[in-house]
Amino acid sequence: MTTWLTVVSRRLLVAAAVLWLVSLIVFGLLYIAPGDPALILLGDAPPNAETIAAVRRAYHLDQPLLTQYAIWFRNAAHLNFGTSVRTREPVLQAVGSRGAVSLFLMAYAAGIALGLGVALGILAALHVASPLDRAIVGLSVVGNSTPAFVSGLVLLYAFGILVPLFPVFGPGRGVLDGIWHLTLPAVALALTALALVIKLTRAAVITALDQDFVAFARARGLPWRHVIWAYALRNSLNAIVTAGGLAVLRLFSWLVIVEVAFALPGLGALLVDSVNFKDIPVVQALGMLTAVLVIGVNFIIDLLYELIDPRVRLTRVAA
Amino acid sequence: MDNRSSRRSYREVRFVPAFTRRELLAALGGGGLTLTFGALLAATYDVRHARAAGAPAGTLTWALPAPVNTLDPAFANIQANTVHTLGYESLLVFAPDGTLHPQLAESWAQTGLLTYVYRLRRTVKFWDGTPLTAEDVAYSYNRIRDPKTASGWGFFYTQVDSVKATGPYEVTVKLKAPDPLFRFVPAMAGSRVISRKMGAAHPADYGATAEATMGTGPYRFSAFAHDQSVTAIRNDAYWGPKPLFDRVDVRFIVDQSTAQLAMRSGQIDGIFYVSLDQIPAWQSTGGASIVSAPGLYVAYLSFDTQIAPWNDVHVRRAFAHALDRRGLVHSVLADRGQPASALAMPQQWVGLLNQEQVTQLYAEIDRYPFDLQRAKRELSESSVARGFTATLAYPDAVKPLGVAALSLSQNLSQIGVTLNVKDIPFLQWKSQTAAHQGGINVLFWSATTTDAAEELQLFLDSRYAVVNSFNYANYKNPKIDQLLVEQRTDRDPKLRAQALANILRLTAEDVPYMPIWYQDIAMAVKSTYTFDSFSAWFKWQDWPDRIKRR
Repeated sequence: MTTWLTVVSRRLLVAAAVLWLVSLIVFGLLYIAPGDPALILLGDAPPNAETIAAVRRAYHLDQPLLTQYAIWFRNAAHLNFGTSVRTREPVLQAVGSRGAVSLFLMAYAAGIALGLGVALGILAALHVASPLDRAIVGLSVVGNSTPAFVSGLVLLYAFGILVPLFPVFGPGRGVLDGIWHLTLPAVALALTALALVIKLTRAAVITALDQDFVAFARARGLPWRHVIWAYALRNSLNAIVTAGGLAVLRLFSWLVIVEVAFALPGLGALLVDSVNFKDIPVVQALGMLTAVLVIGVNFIIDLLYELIDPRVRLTRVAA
Repeated sequence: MDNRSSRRSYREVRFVPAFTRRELLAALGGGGLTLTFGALLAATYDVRHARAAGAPAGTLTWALPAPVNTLDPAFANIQANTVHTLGYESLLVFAPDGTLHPQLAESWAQTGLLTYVYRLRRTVKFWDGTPLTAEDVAYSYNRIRDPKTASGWGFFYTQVDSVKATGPYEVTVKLKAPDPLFRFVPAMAGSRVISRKMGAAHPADYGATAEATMGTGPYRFSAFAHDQSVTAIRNDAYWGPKPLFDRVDVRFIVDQSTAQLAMRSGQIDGIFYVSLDQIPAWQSTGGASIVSAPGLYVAYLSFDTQIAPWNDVHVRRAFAHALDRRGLVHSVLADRGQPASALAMPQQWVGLLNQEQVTQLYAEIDRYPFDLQRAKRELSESSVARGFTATLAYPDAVKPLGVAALSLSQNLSQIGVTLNVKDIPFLQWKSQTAAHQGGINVLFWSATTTDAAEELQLFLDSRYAVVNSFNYANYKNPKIDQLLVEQRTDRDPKLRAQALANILRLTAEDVPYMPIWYQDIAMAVKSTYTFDSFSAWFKWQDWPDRIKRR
């Protein structure tokens, strides 16, 4: 019998291999991307050879690609991701301080996208082809096709200027102030994933409602509410969890845009500034963090599948 | 059109008082070695100006359109310098007319062709109460000079032989070779003075946090949230007049639409470095007024004079005639700028020529009006009389350069030249131009001095026609090299001016570079406030103190 231990360790091995590959690819791409970090660091002044050499030495840029990578890998294995070329902060500290804002924003937006998306999806499924269904689907399509920097601006104008309920920029200080500052960005961010959640939830609930066991349950005279909760929804949960996972990853990809639009010092903004500066240690660390997030979300979803549906087994019983 | 009138009055402020002093200087410098006493200048200009009654107090919240990466002056760029000036000071500063004045220095003198002596004020203290000494200044300068620091500002110290504390309050700088630009170095963004004790305590991360900083300025840095804000609070032990605000919060807002909304909602009081194409948007933003002034910024084309077809002067002249500079200033800069006719800017003749002479000189060298007939004639006299195809790449982050390139391309198509314009990432552009590749490039330059020699030395000296240096055109002209030596070694302003003007004339003849425009700098301020005498040098004049209630 395959135990949990072997499942988890196998997963971890695969994850490590993927991470290693990602680190190699990101490092390689940064290496071949045009632009010399030494020139950028020196700014607009004409660099002299001595100074360029000093910068290259300090960041190992004078070494061949594989040596540079080996140095990075050795340090990264000890959880030392180096120092930002741009700000001279330790990379872990830079990512950590920005990560708090992004994590809060992501959680807030995911809460809105999942809560609202699942509710609206169910509502639409229960009233298939009615005007309500069409309105929900139509609105979600509009939300989905509006880029976050547009919806962000509209929200800013509506609730920052016309009805000044929320601040226009910045992350705020403390939890309550943070919630107040991050509400508009979270809504703008949630809109990018809302349609996805609605669509998948709606389709799954419609399919489930069409099943024989639902018809049978109704035939037995079970109350509607019970049929929806215990039969239809329970059997749609796998699809909804999938939608949730996809939604989280989509939110992460839009984080860059929303953070720049609302002037939030999060990971997305950090990525933009670091790529512009060719700040290799930071970009590399963010690449790894993204990979960890994708792998982690997928693993959590797989675990949830098993929890939800007894037919799904990560641990196999030996034949 | 209130902005236009404010610009005009700005010009008056800028040019009129400067030249009487300059004439005084010229009269003093009979010939040979001139003694340029800064103290003399200090008597005629008060760096800190009187404050109006009822001036604002409390917290000032100001925005910048790009993050400040570090509080270390060694890595100051234009944005960072704006913030650094709150907490740090330098030996010398620029006045709104571009002349140099003492700040931490009480006086300074050039005592020989290669020697500069600075006497420090004795009452200056760092934020922690430690007195400022000559050792701190020498440390700050030697730190920039050290290649290990990897400061871009080190370039300007290339000719420096030594920086020494020659007394508790006296710093002596010795040069290896004459450098007419060195007098500006103590006023440059990289030369702000930091505490030796703090610098030594943070060799690798000075300025990465607010705690790892120590200066003598009117404010002290109390918080530095990377990519978000810098907070500076009033330094109560400041040696100069009491600063106006208790606290200055500088926030970084990259998205200009967000900045406009923040201004409209009253969350920020103003913003520097408004890009000129955003001015109409700012003007339609309620509650903001735009202030602009001539900047020290030139956009230009470079032609690689060592390779075909650019090695043919007729091709370069044909391009010059096909460039509609006036039209571009109007359409791209919304008339906030001037068509350019030289890489050196009209404001860079301080102490060399008076305004009338400058106007005359620039009219004389403005030889390439927009004229497609003449462009065609020049092309027909060239080795590629039937036209040719070339590519011009511009940095994607600097859209105005792209518009200039496209306009040029369109004009050239009428005389049989196909110029393909493409945008490339900023970093790629930077590498390409640093490597002197591409044949033709479109570039920009921000000046750091008010001496025309700055650009002429960097862009025309044949020694710099190498990779990673600024002679992008790989231009080699022995006559110009000779004139450059003359203006470097001669201290008579008249002779220097003559040599520099002759370089401008020779360059206009040969067109290794074709200047496009000089660009203004702009800022937006809450309409209940005014900003006093905005200029390209506002960063040297305690800018929060220039904000007044209307």
